[in-house]
Amino acid sequence: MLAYLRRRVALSFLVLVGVTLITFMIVRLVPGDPVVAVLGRQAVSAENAAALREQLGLNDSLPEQYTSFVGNLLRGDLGRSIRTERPVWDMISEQLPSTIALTVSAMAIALVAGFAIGTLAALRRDSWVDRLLMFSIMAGVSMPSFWLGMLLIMLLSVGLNWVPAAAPASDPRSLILPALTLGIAETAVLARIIRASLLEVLSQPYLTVAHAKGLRGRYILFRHAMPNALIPIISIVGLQFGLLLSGSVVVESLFARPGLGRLTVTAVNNRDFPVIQGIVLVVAVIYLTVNTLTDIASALVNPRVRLS
Amino acid sequence: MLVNRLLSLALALLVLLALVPAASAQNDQLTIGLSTEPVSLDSAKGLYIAEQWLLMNLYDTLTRTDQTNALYQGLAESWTTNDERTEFTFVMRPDAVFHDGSPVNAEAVQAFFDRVAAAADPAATATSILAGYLGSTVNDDGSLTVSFDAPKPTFLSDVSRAWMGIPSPTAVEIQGDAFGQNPVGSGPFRFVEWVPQDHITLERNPDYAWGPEFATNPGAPLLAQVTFRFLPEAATRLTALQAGEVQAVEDPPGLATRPLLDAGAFTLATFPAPGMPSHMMINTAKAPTDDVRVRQAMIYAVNQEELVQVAFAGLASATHSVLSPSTFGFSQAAADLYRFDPERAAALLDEAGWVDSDGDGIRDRDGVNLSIAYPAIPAYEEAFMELLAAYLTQAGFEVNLTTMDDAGIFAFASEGNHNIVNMGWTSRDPSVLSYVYNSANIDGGSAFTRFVDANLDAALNDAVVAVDDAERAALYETAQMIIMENALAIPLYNYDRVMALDPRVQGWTYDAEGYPLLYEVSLAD
Repeated sequence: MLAYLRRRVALSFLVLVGVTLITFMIVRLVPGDPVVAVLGRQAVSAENAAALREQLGLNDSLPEQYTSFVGNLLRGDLGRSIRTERPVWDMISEQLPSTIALTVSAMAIALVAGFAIGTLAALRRDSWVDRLLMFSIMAGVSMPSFWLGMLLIMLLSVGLNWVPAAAPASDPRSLILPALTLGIAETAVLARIIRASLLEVLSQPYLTVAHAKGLRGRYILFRHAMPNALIPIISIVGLQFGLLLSGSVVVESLFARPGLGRLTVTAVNNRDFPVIQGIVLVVAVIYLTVNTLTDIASALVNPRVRLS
Repeated sequence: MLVNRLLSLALALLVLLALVPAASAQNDQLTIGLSTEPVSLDSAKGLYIAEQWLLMNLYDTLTRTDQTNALYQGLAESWTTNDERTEFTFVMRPDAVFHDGSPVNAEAVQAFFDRVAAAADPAATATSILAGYLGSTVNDDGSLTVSFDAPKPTFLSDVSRAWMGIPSPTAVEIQGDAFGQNPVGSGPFRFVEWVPQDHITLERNPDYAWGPEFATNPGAPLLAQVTFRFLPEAATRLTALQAGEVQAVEDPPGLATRPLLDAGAFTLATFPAPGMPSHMMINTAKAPTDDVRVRQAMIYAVNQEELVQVAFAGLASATHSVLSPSTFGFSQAAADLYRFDPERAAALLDEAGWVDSDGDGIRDRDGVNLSIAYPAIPAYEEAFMELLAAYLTQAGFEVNLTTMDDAGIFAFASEGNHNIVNMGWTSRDPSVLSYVYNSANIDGGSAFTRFVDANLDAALNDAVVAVDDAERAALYETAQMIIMENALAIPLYNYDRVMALDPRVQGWTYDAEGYPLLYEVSLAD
């Protein structure tokens, strides 16, 4: 286990180096000058632009800029935003809790609903219930979250006035619609996988044996079938976490909710290099951590998986 | 069964939610939905629209201007200037205090001016207003004399702009770099909190007694609290207004808003913003728009009156020049040069040799299509870009519409790759024309027409330092005439300030730049 963790951390470190290098290059290869983004197309004069470029250190060569970025990073300094001049870490850390609350709630909704739907569909295989559920799931997967969010706003906020459309972050109800929007799409993904995984397990000979022994259906399902069907789900949940993080970009903007996704949009629009790099790095760390944890979790529930 | 239990749980949750009362606003608290978020609330660093909303409520200025740009007392109760307009002396009013209790005096103004000049921040409006600042001195009688190295004919009106709001020097010293997040001024509202990407809250300054003379409410604001929410999606702003979560929203989506306005769900408060309206700058250095007849044909091909109806559901107004009618020095003669006339457009293109020889709907000459490059920013141009392209296509142009973001467009247009590019600039003074039509700004700047004309440059340069108002106006009228006669721009629509309001909102009036005076606003029961 320890050897596995050590290797995993070393590998993660390599991935992170790659991530910094790629983001660093991408944000600089995209056409467009951060100086213009800061000043606005209107306020740009040759004089202003040159002064700001010097001030931001953009006149240095790319290797020089990268070395200083990595040097600062090793000292725990993500740099300062070009636009707000605030420390990047402050900007990210104040937005992170909101995004984590959103993704965790969306995942919780997806797990509960996905298990319910997936299990029901598997148990009623090929019946009209199964077909109806799978059809709804297809619709859920295909629906863009932007559109789904608008529908939910129209229905639950404007129509029924049950939940606020764009409540301030201090209002706990502000989490409901964004989490539902993100959670519904995710439910669709999980339900399909749970159905497939459960069906596979249900066809195993040891379940026929369990039936033959006269065990009750519910006991067989929860005691024998579910734990084995769960194994592939754990790794999927880890991977889907990354999808939820990227989904927050759209959902946070739509619901005017603070968070990393919205910060990313603003930073990209403003060519705010240090902020973009910081966000990518933090998201990469989260993603790597979640995946390491899910790998360990799979090994714990499935003795056939060896962490070596 | 498990599924049944889950279903009942979900139902119970929904019922609970329904029991929670929906947000109901108190009648002394106003929430405004803005489309963008400020970057800094330090007036010395301000540049963006969202900042102007906040700065004008947090700070006071030396002078004040009403909607007609007439000067009134502000923090200064009187002022004098020398004949050259290079030296200005302000006598401060004695009673104003900052939110932190320190007095608003000549030293505070001097500290602000010195700080702006020393920082020379290129991304700050205050820097350009104070360009040429030599220094200021506090006189024995407590007045302040400010000196410049060249005439500043518009300085007295410029210091009334929100960007020149005087901050508390004590607070600037204490807060240092964090002052932009913790502003202290002397304005009608005090800063309470800023939750990034969510909201900024201000509260009434109960001691406020130095409001402008033209205000109907000279004392403390009628509202106890004002919250600015940041709602980047226009559709979300509208639904937040519909749901009663905000009482005023900026730039509501035209098509969705129109039926609600007609149904009386909200009211509309518009103000024709001064400055350069939204228009397309035409590149005179790239074929085929290097031919004046082609450029004129483009202007005749566009129906601005129809465009504002289709693209903005009539929430914006059509324009026919490069200055909006509410701007000082606006030339009606220049604005009367062109009106939608597709036949005239066709005749001009025929005359220039562009005819549709192969019947594909696109005009051509010597085997080359009449093709133009139109890089657009959806953030600003989404509402009308396809329609504009359609007008030009109808006239026989092949329009290559590509979308980019602001920085991408600047790079593209700076290299002269465009034929048309969008421009517009809200400003109470026509001097902004110089930034985009003075040939000195072709290299590295925003003079995207790449048009070089000694008379145009001279008019724009002389106007900036002309002391006499009639002379300044005449110079700007000349400049507009040269711009329109040479067909350098396709005017589109005015940047009207458009706000959709809850009908309970009362006393919503605008200042000279189209920002509401919130100390006049109240909410009916």
